[in-house]
Amino acid sequence: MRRLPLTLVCAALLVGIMASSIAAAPTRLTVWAMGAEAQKIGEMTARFEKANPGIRVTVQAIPWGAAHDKIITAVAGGTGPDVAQMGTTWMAEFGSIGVFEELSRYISKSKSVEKGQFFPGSWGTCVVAGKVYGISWYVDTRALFYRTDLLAAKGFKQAPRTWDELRAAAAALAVGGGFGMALSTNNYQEFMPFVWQNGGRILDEIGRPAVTEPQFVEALDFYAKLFHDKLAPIDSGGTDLFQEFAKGTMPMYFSGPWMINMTNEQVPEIAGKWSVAVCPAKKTRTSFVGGCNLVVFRDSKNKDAAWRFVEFMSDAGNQLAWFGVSGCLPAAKAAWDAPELAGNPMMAVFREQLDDAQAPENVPQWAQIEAAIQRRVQEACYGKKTAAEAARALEADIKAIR
Amino acid sequence: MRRFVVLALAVVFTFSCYCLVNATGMDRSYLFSMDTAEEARKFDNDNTGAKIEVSREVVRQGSGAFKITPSGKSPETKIAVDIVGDALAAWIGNDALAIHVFIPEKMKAAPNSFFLGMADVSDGWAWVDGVFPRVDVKPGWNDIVYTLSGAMKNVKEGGHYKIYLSFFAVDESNAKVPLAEPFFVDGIWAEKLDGAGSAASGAPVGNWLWAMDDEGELAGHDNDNTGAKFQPESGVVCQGSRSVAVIPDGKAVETKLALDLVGQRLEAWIGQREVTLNVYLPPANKLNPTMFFLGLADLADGWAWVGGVFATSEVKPGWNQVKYALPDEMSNLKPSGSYKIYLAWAHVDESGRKLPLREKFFIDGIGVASASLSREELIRQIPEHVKVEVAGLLEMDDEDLLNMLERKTFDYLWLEANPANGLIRDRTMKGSPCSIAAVGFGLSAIPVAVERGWIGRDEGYARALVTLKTFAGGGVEGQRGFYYHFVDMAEGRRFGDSEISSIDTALFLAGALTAGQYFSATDVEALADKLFAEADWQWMMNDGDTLSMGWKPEVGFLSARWNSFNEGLLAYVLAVGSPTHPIPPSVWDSIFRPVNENYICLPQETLFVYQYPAAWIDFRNKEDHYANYFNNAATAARVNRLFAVLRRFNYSTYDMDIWGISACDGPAGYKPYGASENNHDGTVAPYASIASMPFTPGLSIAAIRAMLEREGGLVWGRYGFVSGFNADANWYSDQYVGIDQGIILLMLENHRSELIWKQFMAHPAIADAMAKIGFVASDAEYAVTPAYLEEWERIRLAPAEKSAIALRVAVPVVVDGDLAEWRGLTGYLVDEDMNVPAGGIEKVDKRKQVLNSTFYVQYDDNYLYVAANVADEYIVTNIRPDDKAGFYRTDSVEFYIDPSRAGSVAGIMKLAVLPFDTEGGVQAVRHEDSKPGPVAVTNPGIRVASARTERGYAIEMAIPLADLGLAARAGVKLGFGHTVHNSNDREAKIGQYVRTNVISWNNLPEVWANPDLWGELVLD
Repeated sequence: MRRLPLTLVCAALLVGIMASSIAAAPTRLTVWAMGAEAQKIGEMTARFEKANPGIRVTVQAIPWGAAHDKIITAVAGGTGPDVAQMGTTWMAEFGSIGVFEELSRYISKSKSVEKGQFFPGSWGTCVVAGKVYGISWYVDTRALFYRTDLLAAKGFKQAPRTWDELRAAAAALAVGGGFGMALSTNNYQEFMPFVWQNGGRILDEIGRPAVTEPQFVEALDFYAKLFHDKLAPIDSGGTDLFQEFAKGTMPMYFSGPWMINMTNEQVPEIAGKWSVAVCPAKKTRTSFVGGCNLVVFRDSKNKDAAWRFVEFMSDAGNQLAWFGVSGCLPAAKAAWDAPELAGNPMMAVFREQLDDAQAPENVPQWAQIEAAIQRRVQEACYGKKTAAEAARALEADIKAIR
Repeated sequence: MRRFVVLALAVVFTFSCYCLVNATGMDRSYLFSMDTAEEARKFDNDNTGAKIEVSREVVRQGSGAFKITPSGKSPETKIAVDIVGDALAAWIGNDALAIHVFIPEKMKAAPNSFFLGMADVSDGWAWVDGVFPRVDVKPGWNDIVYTLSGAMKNVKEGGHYKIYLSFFAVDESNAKVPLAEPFFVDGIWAEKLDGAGSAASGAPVGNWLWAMDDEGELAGHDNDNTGAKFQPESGVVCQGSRSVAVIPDGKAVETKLALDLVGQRLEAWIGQREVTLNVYLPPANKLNPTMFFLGLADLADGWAWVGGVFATSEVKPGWNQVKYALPDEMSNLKPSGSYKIYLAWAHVDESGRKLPLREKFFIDGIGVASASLSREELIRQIPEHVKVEVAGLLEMDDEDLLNMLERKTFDYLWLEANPANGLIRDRTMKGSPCSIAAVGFGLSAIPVAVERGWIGRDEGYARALVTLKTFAGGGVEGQRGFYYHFVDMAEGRRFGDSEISSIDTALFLAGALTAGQYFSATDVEALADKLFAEADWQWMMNDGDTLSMGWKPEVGFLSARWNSFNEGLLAYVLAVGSPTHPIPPSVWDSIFRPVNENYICLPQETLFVYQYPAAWIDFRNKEDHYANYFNNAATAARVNRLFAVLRRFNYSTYDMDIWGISACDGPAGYKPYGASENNHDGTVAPYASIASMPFTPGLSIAAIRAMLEREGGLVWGRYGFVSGFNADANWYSDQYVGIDQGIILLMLENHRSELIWKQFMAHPAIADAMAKIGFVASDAEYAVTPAYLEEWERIRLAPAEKSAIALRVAVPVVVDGDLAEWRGLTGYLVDEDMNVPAGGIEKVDKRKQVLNSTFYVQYDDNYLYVAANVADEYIVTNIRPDDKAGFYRTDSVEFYIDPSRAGSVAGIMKLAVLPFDTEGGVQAVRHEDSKPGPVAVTNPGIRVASARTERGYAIEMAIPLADLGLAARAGVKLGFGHTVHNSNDREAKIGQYVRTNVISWNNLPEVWANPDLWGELVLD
């Protein structure tokens, strides 16, 4: 009977020792942040540390240009971070070779993180071959920027809502020597939405090329004809889009929310004469979604703490705070209900667009497929191949990539 | 060492090539006969000060010779002349350039080294290539034959080139001694080399059915009603003496040549799998054939179509080998039959339309060969016992698998030796010499084989003894305890012109000491120690800071040294530990050790470099000032693997478990491959992943299994794994290389039993050397020590520590592009080595490009003046005057100014200057800074001018100090940077992004975005 209290005392002592040792040596978490985000993320890590006194975060700023090589040497030398910001297009490349921790078991235990809270297109970039390797942090997407005044002058009271309207508006705007719109012959991010809008795809369910399906060919044909018919400039390299937009010689283009502030700054003279709209529809109004996710490195020795950081950053409230710090758009849908986003009419357009925005097939050979798409799309735009020929050539290209 | 293997083999080939077709010179026609003053005026001395005059003192041919009087100061004496017009026509189709040189008897310093350089001056100046000929000159007349490289042979018709013939004397220490006394050159001619291989590259097709040298050959030919004509031609020749010009009629959509296939030709044809056609496509042609078709008809009984095949070879202007793979029906013909072949050519445009050919092209030689086999056919040819063996291997557990692999690998080192002297063959090629490095591996292998019971102890001892006696008894040529890299297998004499090699001697000695320790207290140990003691490492230092790579009787010490991180580490441990001729341990610190993030690297990432020292030195759990080299090699191995893995969709060889990029045989011959851009082609060296076993056991075992599983008998044979393979090229080496086998065996054994490490490290001299160098025990997990990482960071960031001084001027600088008023000021050079690492950017290729800028800074009461004098052989002007964005797309410069370092709040100013827009005007904008836009808008006070110069262009600029928020005050310090963007794209479209190179005063990644990486500018 006397023994019991003694044991309890010991246990109490032990707990005390353990508790104090935790307090004395906080878990140190290393986070890699890329580019401009690295300069701004400190405000968020400070909040995190406040909410998690046992964890100290060290942010390492990684220039985008060096990031790819740094990931490789870090994996090779075991000097990787616990958490890293990851571009959506790198998820499959590194995810497929075991660089990132699979997060399903953390998600299943998490009270706050579940896939439904994020825009589906963005969540899709986290999943590689059925495995979740990251959590959506912030997004960007493309919508239609257009000159309200010039369209109105041609009798268009609103932005084009369909492919037919887009073509008609472009044709009307091009009368008089300019172009109807700016469009790229070699940027798959501008091209892919047209494929998706028409129900097309690059790969089918089992990974075979699907680019000779009529939906793809039709989209490519529509896209290429915009160049053939001089509605879009075939070689816009080097043009100053802001100036062309202001002059009215390229009065429509597809781009992301970052262009809102830049347009205001660069060409303030057209304030009030332009707006943004959701992409025009064929079957859908799908756009492209990009952005960045947060990943936990598989070699991390602090995975639980790392997950807590990712969980914290994925919270809608914190993503909204991050938007305030950085201007990066929240990937969590709930954050968009806040007045600073919901109250901004242009942002509301991007909000709407994000519900129908997609990312390319998240496969490790995407970089090679992307290069092939850009080459073949360009051939079609320049009229060197018909859409059908370019699609067949692209199919052969993709088949050649194992 | 490895890097010399190529050289040595090349020499062997060159020997056999030096039978000149026109050896007598009887009917030789000279490009320059060097008889007249008029001819002499065509030559210049390339600023070497040499005098070139016609003389009759000695004459080899014609009426005179050139007397070359060197300046006595210039390290090289040169004569240079344009190759254009007739001279170029005579150049084309030849393999070599040759000159007659007269060396007077009593010269104090006579030319003993020669060089031929070539530049393309068709449009600006671009380096083509240069070659050193084999040299062995005596007093009197000599013929110097320069074998042209591929690039030098592949000249554009109608182009304009310049060649530079350089003459110099090299003394024993490999230093160039300026020539001072006259010598003579009489006659420059171009030659074809007998057996040099055709210009069309690749192995010569053995069997020319139609050599196209003799008009009779084409008897019975016709054009199959395509109107084409055929003419013998001697100006453009690939093989033999002539070719045939094909002259299309300009109307027929296909141009054809039909030839009878009967008699001996038919016999030679039957059973072959591949037809080769040499085709020359003149670069000047508007339309060249892109479709190559070979058809065959049976004429035995009327006319019956047999079959046809399109060549899949890609062609480009110049000589091409077009290959047609013969299907069975075109190969299995009746010997008594009568057939006709049809060669058809057409130009097919992008939309698939055939366009009639209008311009002539040339064909020279139709040959047949038994063709490269398809993968399936190669697999079918694998002997049954090999297939069984591979299947058996795959069923074994790891231990048995490694045992079997070691055993097979050992067989090479045991059986490919000459039992009489212990010398081991470099490779399984017939006539291969001995590599002394392979002997070192072989000596180390003996204890392994004895311990594993593959040979008896006595047997092993006897072989070790014979081997060491051979070396100790003068049976291997060398000097001062160092030996020739390659020696002949029978006599141990120098092979070819191989060098006395410090690293290969080190590899040999490491093996000798390993065997010595194993057979301790025997003659083997005594001999090993004797040989070790004989090596004079102090001599090999050649009065420098680091070991020389070697020595040759012809030139003395090689100029290359073991001065950078690589396999040379092994030589240093031996040299420091030498009981007789030690070098100071401080030499270890003279080795440059670049760090790639977290490991010390060889930038080319040739993997064996990390492995060789670690085959003998047990680097585990120890570190010196710089690194734990075991962990370092482990990181390098994983980087090598990831490099391949991330490219697995671009190269079919590479896969999750198939990797290992290192020096080895490949489809285009032996190459020092490495896991770095421009240094790999999808070829994998099996030894590279396997010998990483101690570092990456899991990955290495997986690699062994994956290679056996996927490639099986294609990469496995009598001595285990072959020396290289490339699945994309469907190329599998049938060679085994001694040092590859050696590194596999030693590393597997170290992994399994630590046997080699234990023996080698047990030698007191090695333990002593490791201690002297400063190795201490450490169980750290890092590769690079924190101390060196910090040191490296300082070395790396040194470019940002740069400082420039702006002098104060009293008279305002005239901003007119003329840099006259800057003369005499200190300039700051941004040269070809100062490349900014960035994606999509290439380093300046110094051999072919000129790109540098010298900038100057001054100031007065009101302005900061900057000037840049840019050397650039071709200036791209593809930006319109109204295009003010992204000048970095093309030839342009930038100046970065950060006035905040001087306390100014004016913000960062980044000036981008386009020297010439499409109208020839200069443009300047502020770009990605605190106030972007054209300077005319943002800072109307800025003045800028540009001018073309002899070597490129000049930029001059005045920036109001007020715009920087500064006053003209001495001692003010600003952040400052200067970057040059370059393109040499002669077809740049308007507005197109054509940048290839970026060099910067502060050549650090993303320097443009990081003002803290900029240098310093001090107002004086």
